[in-house]
Amino acid sequence: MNDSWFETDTTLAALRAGDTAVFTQLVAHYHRRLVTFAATLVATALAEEAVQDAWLAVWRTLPGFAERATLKTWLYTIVRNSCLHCLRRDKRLRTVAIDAELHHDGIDGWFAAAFAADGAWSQAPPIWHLHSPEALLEEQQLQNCLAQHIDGLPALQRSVFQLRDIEQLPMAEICNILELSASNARVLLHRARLRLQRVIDHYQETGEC
Amino acid sequence: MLKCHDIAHLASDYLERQMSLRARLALALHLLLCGKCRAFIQQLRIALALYPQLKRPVLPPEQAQALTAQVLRKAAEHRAG
Repeated sequence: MNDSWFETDTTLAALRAGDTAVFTQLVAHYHRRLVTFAATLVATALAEEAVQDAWLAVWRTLPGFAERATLKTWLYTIVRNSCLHCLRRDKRLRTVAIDAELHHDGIDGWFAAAFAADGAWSQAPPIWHLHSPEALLEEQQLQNCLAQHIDGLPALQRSVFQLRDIEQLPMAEICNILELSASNARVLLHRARLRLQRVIDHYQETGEC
Repeated sequence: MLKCHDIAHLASDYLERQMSLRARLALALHLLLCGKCRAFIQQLRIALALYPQLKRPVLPPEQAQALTAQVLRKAAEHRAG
């Protein structure tokens, strides 16, 4: 079962009709991913609670789901709203300043080290001996390493990266969900990608995380 | 003329076609002449193809059933007022 199965007319009809078996499958499929996303918006201790509240909202409003966006986008939007609701109830909020993220993510340091004063590479990008997505996917240690480093991304970078590069949502929808300008979202995403690129570089060079 | 440093800044916009035709052509010209930047862009392209295929955690069936039961109970309480 994959994401697209939940977007089919048959599945959506079952969900709208209140089919609890299909709803349970939806919960199983998305819950942990939604909690991961919620943890980028609220304190980790609140993320599970926010998503549980979101499932109640999903169940209650599914009969009227109008497919103005995909079900996946709609789920992420509801979770975001649930997080905002939790923040109003609870002061354990995670306030995230884009500027702070951009100045403390290590990417400026990487640029300074990777490029000479004339803008050319100081040293060539490392040669990858695993040079296809399939070859990289076979490396379980790399997958674990990436998961760990994705968790370690600054919160906003992690949100945008999860929604764009893992969930493959369109940028316009991501900007709506996160209430970010397109330019800010693009900068956050690119910096997240550069950080993770360094992780893959290191793995390719050393075989270690 | 774009420098390698600029290519590293613009790589995502290039791959997602989020730049003007003029800027795109300038970047493509640089790539034609610079093997290091070609390697950098190609590696980014590979990584972007990898990420959607990373394993996504799912909830074990019994936990999903328990969560659904909790949702249904709360929905019923809500309806009952």
